[in-house]
Parts: sequence; structure tokens; C-alpha cells
Amino acid sequence: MQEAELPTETLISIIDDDEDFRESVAGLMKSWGFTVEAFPSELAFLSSPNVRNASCLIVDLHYPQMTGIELHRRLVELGYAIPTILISAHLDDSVRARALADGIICYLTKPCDEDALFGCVSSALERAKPDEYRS
Amino acid sequence: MAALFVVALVLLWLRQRSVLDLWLMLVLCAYIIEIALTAFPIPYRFSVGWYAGRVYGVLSGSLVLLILMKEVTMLYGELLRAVLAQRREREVRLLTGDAVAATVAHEIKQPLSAMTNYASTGLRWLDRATPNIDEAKAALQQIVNNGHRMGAVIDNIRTLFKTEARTRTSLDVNNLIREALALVRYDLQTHRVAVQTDYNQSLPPIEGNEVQLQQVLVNLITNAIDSMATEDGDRVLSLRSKVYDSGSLMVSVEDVGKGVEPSAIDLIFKPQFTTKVHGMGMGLSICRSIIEAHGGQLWVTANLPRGAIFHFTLPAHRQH
Repeated sequence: MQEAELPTETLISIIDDDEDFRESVAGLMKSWGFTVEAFPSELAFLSSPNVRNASCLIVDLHYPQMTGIELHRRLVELGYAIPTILISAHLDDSVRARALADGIICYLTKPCDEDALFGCVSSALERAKPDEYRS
Repeated sequence: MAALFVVALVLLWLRQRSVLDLWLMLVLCAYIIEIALTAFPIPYRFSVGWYAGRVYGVLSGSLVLLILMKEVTMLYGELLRAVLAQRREREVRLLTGDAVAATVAHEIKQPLSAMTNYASTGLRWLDRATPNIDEAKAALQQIVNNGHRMGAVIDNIRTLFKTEARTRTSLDVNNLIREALALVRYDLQTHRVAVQTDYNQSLPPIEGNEVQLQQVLVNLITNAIDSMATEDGDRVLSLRSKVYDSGSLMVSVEDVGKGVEPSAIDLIFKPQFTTKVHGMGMGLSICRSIIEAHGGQLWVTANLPRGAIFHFTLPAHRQH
């Protein structure tokens, strides 16, 4: 597995109400060399000053309320098209289809495969900065 | 012949066991009178007394038949009701089991996923040119912690199942409502929902499973909170308890939120309906099953100018 070759000023924001899982993803991102911010809820994220600076979002779907998808919609409405990755303990093809149709980049299930997650984050960051990093 | 009937009558009188015995005695009386009447000498036949006797015979016979029919029909009704109630209880228990299984799966996946993440993290930290031992150790420690957390979840599974679906106690519905409100107090505050209550002080006690009825109330209240979450203006949740009729009481949960589409009024109680199901994911279909297993009904009406009112009835506890 290659080391992360992407710049470290990218900010990855993680939103999950489960503290252990949230911290574990943050730790993983840090070990890849990213800067990370973790939030316990969508509300906490939206009220943080770094909303516009986030290059990639990793959000828990939070079945069955599906607040993860709602957050993405809200951000799109507000004009922040932050590439979003959804993670969920729940497996549901219809929800996945809906999420992907909404413009969400990836839908991963817990426990997540590290390679898959890394691939998702890479493509998310490519999308965030199209001019400089697309080859 | 008449002597036989008289003997039977006396025996029945001495050994009365049920309502049927009384009515059989009546019929036997009629037969005896009938026999006595047929023994009337010719001139006295067709006299008023004779007719009275015959009429009495017909009437008592018909009466016994009608009583029998009524008793049998009532018995069938009770039997059907018991079978349906039993079926609902089983349904509730299965649905509760399914909800518990979903919760357990979810609760286990969290620490499990954290563990795999930390393991990958540890590997990454060690896989560098200069391995970061401290970070790797921290990651390994977190694996231990999450392992313990999983152990605790598994230990608690049986407690989760111990929502004794069968224990029923005498309950005060007003108290149930107060406790449900206390359980969701934080939710109410966060969403700035004002609560109005209107308790009927002379409510009869009901017999039910406290945990299940609590779940129903909490579910209805959180649904109400959710429906108002996206609305502007005042958010008011109203809870009312009142006597419904001579044998039951009614609770109403009223909100001023999005309301329910007229076309969806029955749809929302179906098990497959998944939108906006809050908390433990109980769902309105389980709520309805629980209420019906208790002998009541759950339905929704529109609140004017906007919102919805969920009503449920429960039979009063009959003292045996």
C-alpha cells in the first residue's frame, strides 16, 4: 500500500455519534498523514468554523433517520459541495442507490475495508481540487 | 312418563350447576304441564288454561333455544378474541426480538469497526521507515478497550431480551405519560418543544406491560418531535388523557408538525413503512400491535390547522 501522496492541508471531517468509532477513523486518517477534525453530530459540524474548509466528509448514515444523507443535501443547498463518504452499520441496497444518486461518492459498511476507504478518500480529494490534482 | 320428568326436574333442582340447568328445568316444567294438559278430559281441552299451558310450553322452549344460541355465540366471540390477542402478542414479541437483534448488531458493529480501524492504524504507524511505536501502542490499547466494550454489549444481550412481554401490572396511565415525558426531556429541550398536558384525574387503572406501553408513548412523542423539527413557529406537544367510555380510557398525542397525508393514514402503521422512524426503531406498526395486544386501538387524525393527533384507547382494569 502506497503512502499518502496527497497534500496535508486537506482537511477531512468525520461525523459519527459513536465516540470509539469516530476516534478510530480519525486515528486512521492521521496515520495516513491527513489533518482531521471529528464531530459527534451534524449540528456540531455545521456550527464549526471549518465547514467551508473541509475537503472531504466522512459521515455516518445514522439509519433509520438517514441524517447522513440529509446533511449532504443540506450542504449542497448551502453551496458547499464537499465530497461525502457515507459509512453505516446498516446494509441496504436501496439506501445505497439513493445515496449514490444524490451525489455521495461512496457508501461503505462497517467494519470498513481500509483499502476501500483509502480509495474513496483519494477519489474524494481528487474531486475537491480538480484543477491541480487531476492528471 | 310424567313421573320421569318430575324425577328429572327434582334432580336438576338439587344439582344446579349452570344457567343451562335452570333453563332445562323450565322446559321440563313446560313438558310436565303439557303432559298434564294432554291428560285433560275432552271438555276441558282448548280452554284458556289449556292454551295458556301450550303457549307457556312454546315460549319456554324458544327461550331456551335463544339463550343457548346467545351463549354459544358469545363463547365463540371470546375464543376468537383470545386467539387474536395471542397472535398479536406473539407478533409483538417477534417484532421486539427483531428490534433487539437490530440494536445488538448495531452496538457490536461499532466497537468491532473501531477495532479494525485501530489495527490498520497500528500497522500503518509501524510500516514506516521510522516506525512510530507510541502511536502504534496507543492504537493497540484502543483495540483492547473496544474489545471490552464488545464484551459488555454481549453480556447485556439477555437483559435486553428480558423486556418481559408477559408481565402485566396495574398501571396509572397519567404516570406512564409523565415518565415518558421525563425520558424524552432532553429531546424536548434540544428541539425547543413546549409541552401541554391535560390529565383526567379520575382515570381508571389499566392492566398492562409497563415497558411496552412506555415504549409506545416514547415512540409517539418522539415522532411528534421529529415532525415538528423542520417546522417554523411554535412547537407545541399536547398530551391528553380522558375517559373514553364506560370500560376504557383514551390518550391523545397531538403535534403541530408536518402531519400525515390523508392517503398515508393507514400506510404509516404498516411494518414496511420506514421513513422517519425514531430511536429504537420501534415503528408505528409495533406500537399498534402492542396497543391491540392490550385490547385497545391506535389511530391517527389530522390536527387543524396542521399537525397530527395520535389516539390510543386501553381497556380499564376489571377487578375480578
